[in-house]
Amino acid sequence: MTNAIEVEGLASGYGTSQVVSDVSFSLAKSEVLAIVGRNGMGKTSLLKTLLGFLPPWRGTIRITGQDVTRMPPHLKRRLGVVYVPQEQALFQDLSIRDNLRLGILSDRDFAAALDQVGQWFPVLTQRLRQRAGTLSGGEQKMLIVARALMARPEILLLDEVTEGLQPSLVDRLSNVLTQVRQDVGTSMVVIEQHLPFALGIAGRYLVFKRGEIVDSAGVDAGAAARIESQMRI
Amino acid sequence: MPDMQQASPATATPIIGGLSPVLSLVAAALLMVGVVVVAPSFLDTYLVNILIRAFFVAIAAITVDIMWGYCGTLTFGQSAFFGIGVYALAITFTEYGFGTWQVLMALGATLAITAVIAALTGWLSFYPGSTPLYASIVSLVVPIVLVQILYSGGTFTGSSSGLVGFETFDLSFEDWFRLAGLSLIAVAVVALIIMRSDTGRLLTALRDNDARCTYLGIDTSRTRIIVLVLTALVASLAGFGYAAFGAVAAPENASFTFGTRLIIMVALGGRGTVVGAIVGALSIEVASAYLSGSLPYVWELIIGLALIAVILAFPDGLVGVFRKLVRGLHGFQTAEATRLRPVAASTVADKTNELAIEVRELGKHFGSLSVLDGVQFKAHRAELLSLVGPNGAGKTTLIRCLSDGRERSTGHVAIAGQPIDHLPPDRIVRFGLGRKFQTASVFETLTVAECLRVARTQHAPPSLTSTSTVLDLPAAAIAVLERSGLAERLSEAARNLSHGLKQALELAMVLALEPEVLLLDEPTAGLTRAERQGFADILTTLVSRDRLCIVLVEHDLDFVREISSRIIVLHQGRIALDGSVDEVVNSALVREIYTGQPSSAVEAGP
Repeated sequence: MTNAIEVEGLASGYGTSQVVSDVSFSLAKSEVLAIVGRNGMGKTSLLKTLLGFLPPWRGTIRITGQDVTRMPPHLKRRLGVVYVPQEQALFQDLSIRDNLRLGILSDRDFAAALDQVGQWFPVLTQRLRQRAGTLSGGEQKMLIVARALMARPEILLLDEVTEGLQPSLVDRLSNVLTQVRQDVGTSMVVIEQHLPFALGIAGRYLVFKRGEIVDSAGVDAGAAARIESQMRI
Repeated sequence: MPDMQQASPATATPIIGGLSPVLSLVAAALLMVGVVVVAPSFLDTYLVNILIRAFFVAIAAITVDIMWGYCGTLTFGQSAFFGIGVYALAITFTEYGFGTWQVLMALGATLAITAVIAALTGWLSFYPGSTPLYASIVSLVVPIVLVQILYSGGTFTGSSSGLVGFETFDLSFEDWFRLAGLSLIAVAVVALIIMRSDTGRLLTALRDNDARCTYLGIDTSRTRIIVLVLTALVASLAGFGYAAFGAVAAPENASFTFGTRLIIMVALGGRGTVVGAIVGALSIEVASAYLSGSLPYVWELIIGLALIAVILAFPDGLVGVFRKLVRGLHGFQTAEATRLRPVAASTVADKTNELAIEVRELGKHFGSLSVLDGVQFKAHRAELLSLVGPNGAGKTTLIRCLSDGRERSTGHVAIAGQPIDHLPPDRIVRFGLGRKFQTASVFETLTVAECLRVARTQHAPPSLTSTSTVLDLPAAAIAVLERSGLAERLSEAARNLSHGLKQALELAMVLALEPEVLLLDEPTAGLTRAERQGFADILTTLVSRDRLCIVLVEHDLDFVREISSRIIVLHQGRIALDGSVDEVVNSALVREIYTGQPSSAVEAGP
């Protein structure tokens, strides 16, 4: 079976400084891969390169076998790739409902998807008409995640989703993501500083350092300790 | 921690290519002076005539570049101030004839009227909370109103035909050329020196992030008004010179069409460069003069098409193209390395109140919706107060109400013993408040060192003429820079930093204020555990050694437990619990809010 993502020798950067250096990895169908590492090591830049927001300098990106190295971001969305960025990504002046509506491509599936969101994050569907900009930081984060999940993505790229969420919501999110992976078969790349969360849902992890993968292994009981020690070096 | 020193080859090398920037600027200016003095003998009279006007117009274009290119306010209004200079001279000389007293009177009228109208315009454009778009619209209204006044002024203003035939200075074309040319060079040199200085960086910071500036104690409205008045005065003097040479005053000199032309000149030449404004102004003025003669109807179309072509092909303008060429040849770079120097923490401990924050009956309502209600607490120096609660409990709103006097609906707040009334954040910051935002808020186009220098504006007013290579910072700010690795990346642009490093930079900027009360909204979000630990050490030191009062919004209960001296639980806009760490962490309510966090794990501790 073809892999969901296949990356080979990928490099990119800003101006003249290279921040992603010859990265190769693959992600199987409905696999969850955690990418961990200190701040400023190029994790977010890697996601931006995968999506096409940052042009690749070298290397190839394949999504379900198709070469998409030069494909613009909006076309990748049509292949089922959905991105949850770390920074604010809401339409601040639109209501919660309208923000959610923009997450999916057609009206047909909206009612069902909205029900689903209500089960995951009732606090959102109770206040559908509230303006997204008036939500608190954590609630905005929930909305961004809900909008991404209701698209039932083939591939989901998550950048620091637990940031600003209360612990009980982090646990719920972890359950929701596992459930979506089972129901939809979504493959996920999870960039995360919250190691217990990341290792709780991922089957495999990569440690990123200065734009390169320095370690890659399956998640087991000793994973957290190994990663902590590697990030200290 | 050597692993943090990420290599950044593009920024680490301070090269001073032969001459220092100041010396090369002086050399270029002297060369231009030479050209201006000699040129009239070689140019034909028609071109000299056109260039004299173009020089005055270029001065006005420089003022547009400062307002737009550096301060970020797209302004159509500089033409109005130019027009005031034109008409002050024309009306005085027409009414009272020409003479020394009349010249002084005209000059006085130019400056006085411009200052008053510019200050009024600035007040309308930059009141706290106004948007850049609003300021642009006000700037559009000013010339329109002025031209209407000129039209309805009868013989006094000459109405639509303007004023002609008044007696003016009797100078030869050559002397006018030298006078106008030297004025332009003088304005350009002063503008370049100021814009390249630390003050220039401050203006860029204002353009990048007004809110962050306000929370660094900078009165952004006042700064913008001062810049507007100063640039307006320069533009009005350019208009004065323009009318003195031409002996004509026409409503077009004050119109928004002319204001738009100035913008086009700046865009063509390259904004944010000063030199670009001159290049744009001279090329458009000279080209229109020649083309309007030979192609009377299509010349404006040709200039319009040329402008579109240039902007599409070279978004940085003509000067941008030139710079790219030069850089390609020499690897040109002028950034000098900045050195950090610790300053002794100011001895605020003895002069101030032990009570750092006092909140009584605080409420915040949106219509019938209460976000905060009856919130009441005190916090003292050397206390680390953590604010916890579920998402949407009102934590960030409370932080906002403590740092901006205009936010709360009811109640009383005092910071370091001083009531905040309805004061804006920049005033409260001067009481000793520092606030770090939830999402990193820095100055994207400035370097790390420049961001920190802007943060020090209150303690070290920026130089008007130079950029300092030494950065005085309190020990706590330096500790953050060193731990995060930012100390090695001082000349890196903030926009190139990762999210976590931007957070660290913002924290260092806030600490650079040497605050007594520090408000931190989820400062550890997105940090690794090791980084969190380093951060906890810094906070603990600030509380124990510098006796700061810190209010921290945080979800990580382990972290909260480790560093707090007290915890307040906010739930649905009210204080649900206020007590010691053990009381709060072990309470049933907190366990309910934070389910999934078994109480045994909490009790285990480090």
